[in-house]
Amino acid sequence: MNSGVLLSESETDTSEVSGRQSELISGDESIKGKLEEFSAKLNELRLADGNSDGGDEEESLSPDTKSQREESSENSENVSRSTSRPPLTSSIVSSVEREQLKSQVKVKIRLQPIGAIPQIQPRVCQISAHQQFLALTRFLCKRLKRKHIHCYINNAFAPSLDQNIGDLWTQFKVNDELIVSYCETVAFG
Amino acid sequence: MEELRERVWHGSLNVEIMLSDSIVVPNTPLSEKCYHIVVLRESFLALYLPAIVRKLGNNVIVTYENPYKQWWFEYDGVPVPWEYPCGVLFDFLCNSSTTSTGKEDDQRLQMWKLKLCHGNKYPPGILPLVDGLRQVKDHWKHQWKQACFILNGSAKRIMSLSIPDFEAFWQSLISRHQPDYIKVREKLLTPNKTKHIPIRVWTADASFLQPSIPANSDTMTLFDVMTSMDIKLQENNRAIIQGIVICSDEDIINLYDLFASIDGFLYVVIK
Repeated sequence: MNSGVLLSESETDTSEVSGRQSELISGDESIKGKLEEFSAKLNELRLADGNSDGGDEEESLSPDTKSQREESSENSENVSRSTSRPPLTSSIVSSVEREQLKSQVKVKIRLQPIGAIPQIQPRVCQISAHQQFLALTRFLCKRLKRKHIHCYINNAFAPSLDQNIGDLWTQFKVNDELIVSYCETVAFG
Repeated sequence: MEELRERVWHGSLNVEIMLSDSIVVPNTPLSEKCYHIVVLRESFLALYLPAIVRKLGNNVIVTYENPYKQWWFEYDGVPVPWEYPCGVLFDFLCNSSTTSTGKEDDQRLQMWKLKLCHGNKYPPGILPLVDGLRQVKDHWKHQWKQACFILNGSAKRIMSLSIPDFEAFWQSLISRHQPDYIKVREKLLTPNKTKHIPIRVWTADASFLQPSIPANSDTMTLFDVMTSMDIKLQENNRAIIQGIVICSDEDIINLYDLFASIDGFLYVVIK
């Protein structure tokens, strides 16, 4: 099962989005590294409630926070500028904007346990749409302290780990939430 | 139509597999560390691993458990994933000769030169193949479930296939029996009632996109799909499907019908 691959436990690198890193590494891991990674993961996801009006453009809690903040300030300038531009130029600008916005948009994920595995709180999380599905699987492994986890969308299929979460959300969302079920063993074979 | 499908099914690639310098026994003659095979475009590289390892496995300095675990391919120093059909990977990573259609260069034998690597630690970008053929089959099955969900709005059709039907579906890929494949594939599709088209696009900047393309509109062309994704097709930015440069006014439903890959997705490479 692809989503049940052994995920790296010794990774302290939080920029997992940059590449598909699904190495089989087992080994010791310092507590410090673990804490750092855990806190980074927590930052990545946030409560769906209350924060949704916070403005995705200003706030970005994904791993590459620094660069995204720069982009977002640039981006908000572009938004104001483009409104006063002639149509042709604004269409070019808007496609650049769309790209930038796309990298900052967050989507809602509803996490559902299957079997004996604990329920994660909060049940509904937000995650950057540009991340790969691997990021979510890793988060669940860390959070649930499991080495492997099997994830399914809409209780039907396991996506590839390199699939974009935003694309999955667009295609399979139910009431604006992507339903991800997780299980310790194979649930939908 | 049938002939085209048959040609797609039988499409092949010439592949040269060379043992990576890091694992080859020193002073091995070229003929012992290099293997030329014809790989079907509509197949998975991992399915060829047993034959390749059997041929080249005597000349490596590493010990290995089986022909799947800890082996992977690299092209030009870049790890090649096993989970996509060979043809798509070739089009994306290598294929450059499509530019010279009609020229004399086309007569040249095009060779995909891959390195066979082995190691305890997989490079970034490679999904560890720990469970051999079973993992390939599972992955393929879930890709089809996803495609089925996109096509029909649920995975019901594939879930309600009988076990013999499903086994025949998988075996058709191993034994390369196209009629069996088509027979089961037709059970997963509902002509004229398709909801969305399973399509994956690899853009020139190596992004991997899976747009949501509704199938209910009267005619949707490749151009419309690309426009919806902000991709402009032009001279140096062309859409390649199954190794062929496709005209942007082709109907996307027809393209899916003819050129969809063995995992239920239509792959478009932009380069």
